[in-house]
Amino acid sequence: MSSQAQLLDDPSLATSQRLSSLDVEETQVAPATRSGLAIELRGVAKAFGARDVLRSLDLTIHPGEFVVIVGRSGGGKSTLLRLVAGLDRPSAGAVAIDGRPISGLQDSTRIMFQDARLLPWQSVIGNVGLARGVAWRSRALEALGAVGLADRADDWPRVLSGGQRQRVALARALVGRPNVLLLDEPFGALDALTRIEMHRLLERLWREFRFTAVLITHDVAEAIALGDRVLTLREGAIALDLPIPHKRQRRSASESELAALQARILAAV
Amino acid sequence: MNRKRSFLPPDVVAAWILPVALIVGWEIAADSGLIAARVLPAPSAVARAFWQTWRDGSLAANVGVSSLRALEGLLIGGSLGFALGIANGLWRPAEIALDSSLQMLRNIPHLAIIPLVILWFGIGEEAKIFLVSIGVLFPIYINTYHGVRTIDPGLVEMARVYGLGPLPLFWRVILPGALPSIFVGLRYGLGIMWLTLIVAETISASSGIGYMTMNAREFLQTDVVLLGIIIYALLGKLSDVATKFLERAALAWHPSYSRPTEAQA
Repeated sequence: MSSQAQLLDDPSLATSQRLSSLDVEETQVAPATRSGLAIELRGVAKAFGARDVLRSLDLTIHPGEFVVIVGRSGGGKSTLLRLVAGLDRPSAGAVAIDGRPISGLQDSTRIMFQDARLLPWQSVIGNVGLARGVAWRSRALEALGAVGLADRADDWPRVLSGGQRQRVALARALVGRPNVLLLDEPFGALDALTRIEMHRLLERLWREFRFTAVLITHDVAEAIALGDRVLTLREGAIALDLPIPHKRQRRSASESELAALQARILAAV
Repeated sequence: MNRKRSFLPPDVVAAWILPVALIVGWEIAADSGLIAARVLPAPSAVARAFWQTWRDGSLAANVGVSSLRALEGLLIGGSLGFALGIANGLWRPAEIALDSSLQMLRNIPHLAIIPLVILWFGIGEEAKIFLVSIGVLFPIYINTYHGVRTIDPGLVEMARVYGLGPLPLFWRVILPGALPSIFVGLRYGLGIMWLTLIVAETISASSGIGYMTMNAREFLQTDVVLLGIIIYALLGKLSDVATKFLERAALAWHPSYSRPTEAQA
């Protein structure tokens, strides 16, 4: 089916070894006090000069939902995410989180970027606890424990691998107990095995923390693996809004069912 | 992973072979009369001059005066250059208003304004400190400005998304990011600092190492002149070593400054 599945089946790769690092002990992180928040886009449009990137987009994301947006590069995915993050303002329409229109960066929202964007001059724990605040060290250590990197707290980021760097970035995003987590192709630069580890880690943390997640990707297999719902963007508008059935039993879904889903998404991209 | 560190790395020894050989050769040549003492006195004569000036206290006094001038100039010029570099790097209106003027002033060789400085300040302390300040200002300004401007905008954006206000943003992102470049500026500035001071003290001074050597020239004390030159070399080296030490401490995260034993994982 996908290259990922082939890699997993390849006996020459030390897959079990690679994946065993995932089996970190279930963490003691207390369940989030607030769950995910709803995101609403009404008539959102964004133009850069004469170029319309998004045109009149309507979208409702339910609290705690995991939505994946698939699209070609330059299709407006990142623009959409930046609008939801409050990094950019829409040319028209409004973005609301938890029913309130936003006009800038939100404390309840965190973003993971394609590159980890760790500060090279801060240790791993210094990066995770970037915003400091009360008892930041213990909270940062807790988040590092959740991604299985508590033992690397005092290392410099440069000695970490690409996957580890993204796990640190994930820990940094979780430290503030976000209600909305936006992920801008965070696994795009990782190798297939590390990517599968990251999928499992992200899914576990999402179930634990119950934040609303919006993930951008151009990998259809990744979209089906993670999303409750897959959207595709084409020419600045939503071309497909596809709920993924049997979300929890996805692993038992048959190959043909998965292939059918993939085909539908690819046709709409 | 851990490289063994021998007590005395061979590189350190090798670096000293040439200078030691030169000094020994020079001593032999001077003692045998091959080089006239008026042209180049023997190292032992320079050592004697050192001992004499040390004992009568004039050496320490002159070195102290020179170092104080250098430090004052570095402090004034350096902090001005740093502040201008930060302001112009971060704030577009300041950059528009100041940068092109600074770039213009930078191209004037600062030693060319010595006659003007003497007219303004006479030959007192102010003249020398002013000259050193001007000399140090520009390399530190340019490198601070460059350091701030070349910070990865992605890191700044990330820090803002994660809720950092202007001050934490400056202390945790902008300043550390600009620091490697600021250190480059500081090292350039230190070189210019000593150069400027030598010239200023040679032209007009009543104390300091430059004065000591010019005074010795009048009495044909070539050994003291040579001693002065060596002291300048040592002071220059000392400030360079101090900066390297600071760099190592402040930039431990930077791959270029980390010790080889701190190997990559």
